Amino acid sequence: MPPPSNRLSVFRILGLAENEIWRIGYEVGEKSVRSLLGRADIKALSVIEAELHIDADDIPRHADIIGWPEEASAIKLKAIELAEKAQLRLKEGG
Amino acid sequence: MSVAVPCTGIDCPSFRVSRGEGLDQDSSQKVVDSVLEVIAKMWDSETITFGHTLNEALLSLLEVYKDCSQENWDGYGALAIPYGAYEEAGKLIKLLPSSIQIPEITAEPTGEIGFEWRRGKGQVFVISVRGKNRINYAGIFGDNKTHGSEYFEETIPSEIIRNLRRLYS
Repeated sequence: MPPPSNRLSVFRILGLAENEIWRIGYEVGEKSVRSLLGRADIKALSVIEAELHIDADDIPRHADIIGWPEEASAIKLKAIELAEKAQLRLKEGG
Repeated sequence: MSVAVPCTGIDCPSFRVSRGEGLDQDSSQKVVDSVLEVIAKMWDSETITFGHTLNEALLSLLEVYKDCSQENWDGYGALAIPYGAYEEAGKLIKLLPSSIQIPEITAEPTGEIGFEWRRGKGQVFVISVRGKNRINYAGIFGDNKTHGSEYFEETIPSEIIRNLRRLYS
């Protein structure tokens, strides 16, 4: 589900090695004082097919998924549509 | 459904079969009483669905509420789960039909308590409450999708029950 800002934070991982991808996750966790449990990988095409948009910013490889509908239940539907297309990867040893 | 009735601690009825007449009345009553005792113990755990009791669901709900009752609990500005959402979620859990599997319980960044039922790929139904007498819901059933909002106070809205049965049909 997107946060109240309706900007769902993501990182582009195309071309990165596994350890580099996990390092991004650990860094995000450290900054927000949370433990990394896993990640969800999704293709940009799936975001577009869900009629959402990817808005890149100045942070390297960072973007937000935006364009969420107004209605709460419609947001919920888009969230589960994305979840269905994402692949969950749990942290090893976690 | 069959119930295994233990004999330890109670008088085990004697299963005398005499000329095809089966149990005597006293023994029959003992069997009925022991079956009722087992059922009473099952109902003491209130609801047993797919191995998860109602009490386990309520404990899970409490943990979610405790973990997410502060602002920014996810580090991305998530709203705190209000006590009203916790109360409403507990009421909803207790109203779930016993034939419905206990859902996965989560906190949503909008400050709602979410319930998710999943039955394999492409079969998922989620609802959420915030303590405002409203259930927001969305579901994917193969190629079919649904979403909406229903008023909730004393009984689970029929639309929610319909979609749950749809998921498990």
